Amino acid sequence: MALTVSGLSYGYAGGKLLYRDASFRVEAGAVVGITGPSGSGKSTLGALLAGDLRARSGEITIDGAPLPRRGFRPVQLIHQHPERAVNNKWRMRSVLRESHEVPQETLDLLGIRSEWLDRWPAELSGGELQRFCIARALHPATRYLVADEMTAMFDAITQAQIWHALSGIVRERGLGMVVISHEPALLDRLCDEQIAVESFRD
Amino acid sequence: MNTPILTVSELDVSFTQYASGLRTRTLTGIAGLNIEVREGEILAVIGASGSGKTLLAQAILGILPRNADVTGEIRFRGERLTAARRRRTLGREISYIPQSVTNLDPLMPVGEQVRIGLDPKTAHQEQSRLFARYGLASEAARLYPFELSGGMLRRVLFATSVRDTVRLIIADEPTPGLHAEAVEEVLRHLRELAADGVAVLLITHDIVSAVSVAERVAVMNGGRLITVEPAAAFTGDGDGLGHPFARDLWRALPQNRFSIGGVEWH
Repeated sequence: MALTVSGLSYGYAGGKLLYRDASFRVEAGAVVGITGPSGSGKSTLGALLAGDLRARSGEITIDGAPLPRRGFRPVQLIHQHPERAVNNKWRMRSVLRESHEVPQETLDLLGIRSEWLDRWPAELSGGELQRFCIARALHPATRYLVADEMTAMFDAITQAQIWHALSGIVRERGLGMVVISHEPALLDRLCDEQIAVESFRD
Repeated sequence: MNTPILTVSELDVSFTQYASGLRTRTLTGIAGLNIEVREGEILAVIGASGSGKTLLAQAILGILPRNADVTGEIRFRGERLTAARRRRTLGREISYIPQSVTNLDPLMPVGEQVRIGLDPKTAHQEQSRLFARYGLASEAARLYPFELSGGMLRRVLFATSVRDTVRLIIADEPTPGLHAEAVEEVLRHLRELAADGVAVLLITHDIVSAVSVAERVAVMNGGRLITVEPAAAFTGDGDGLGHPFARDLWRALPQNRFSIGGVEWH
């Protein structure tokens, strides 16, 4: 049971290859950190893992099978800027329901208050919105999470609250998680293993 | 060294919003805030998003949204900062380094943006000097913002804000999303400005940066100034911090306890 990347190469048109023949695995239940300076391809790797981008060569498999090309994506990506990841014309109740009927227990664990459900995205703080994005990603069919600078925009207390809640849920469900961050101290806290994205360059 | 440059007394900022129909509700942004920044000093203001940090900057600069109500007093170099005085001082004596590089004009070459407000006779010369100071190649002056990297755009923002006449700089979140060396560069530039006698108000949620560059750190929460702590107290387990909220904030960092108000990690 693992999210497996083998022989992955990827680069943007007209640019150099970001990774050449990259291979690594994320076991179910493990937390793997991805480090590297800005512009080194951390977020691109996250989008490839989630299936938002398709690699030209190499393979990404989940528990032995290739990433599904249609239907629910078992690898869910959580972005740095939640305000850009939700429809700002929908109330939060609809934003949540787009994914699934999120159980009350999950909402409680993430500290989502029931009065926030009737609000518009613009009426919540970034930290509050990000909790919704996490709840939405925790679909029953989700096997792996990719957290791309998920708490980089937040103060220390909000950051700690979000990670306390999510780590508990991830552990209980046995999910695998990839944490993309430029903050070494955060990765040291969260991860079983860390990979520098530059190591995929050659 | 000790002359106060900016003095904010009993500042209240509130907003009137339409709730439904013609019924309005009032939201408090900042309540009863007192703060002082002295010549050559960097004062950091830290706090959660929504704590009122950016509103403080906007209130000083007079750029709050129209539905805002402001009471209290803001003094710059001893005199009240009125709308007329703002017109004379903003961009000359008071400067603003905004949060986002999207504040640059996407349709104007960056050199031209740096020359705004400079004396036309010496503008080109001064712009070259600023480019050299911030490590920007002189050819970059003709480029548009989309042609420069994020780190270079940060330096352009500094170059647009720094003038020989500036006495107060307000920097709003100048570091998030930058990697360690780029953050260090921004902080070094702020230190240089303070060494030249400029008063710097640094608004940030990055406690580690704030503590490394400022002498005093003001902590805001829910629109109130909770406490002003010496930067040196943010060390070890934070036992030297006077206020429990400052201790919670410090201990919540992943390199410290990663705890939330006494709840430990794992």
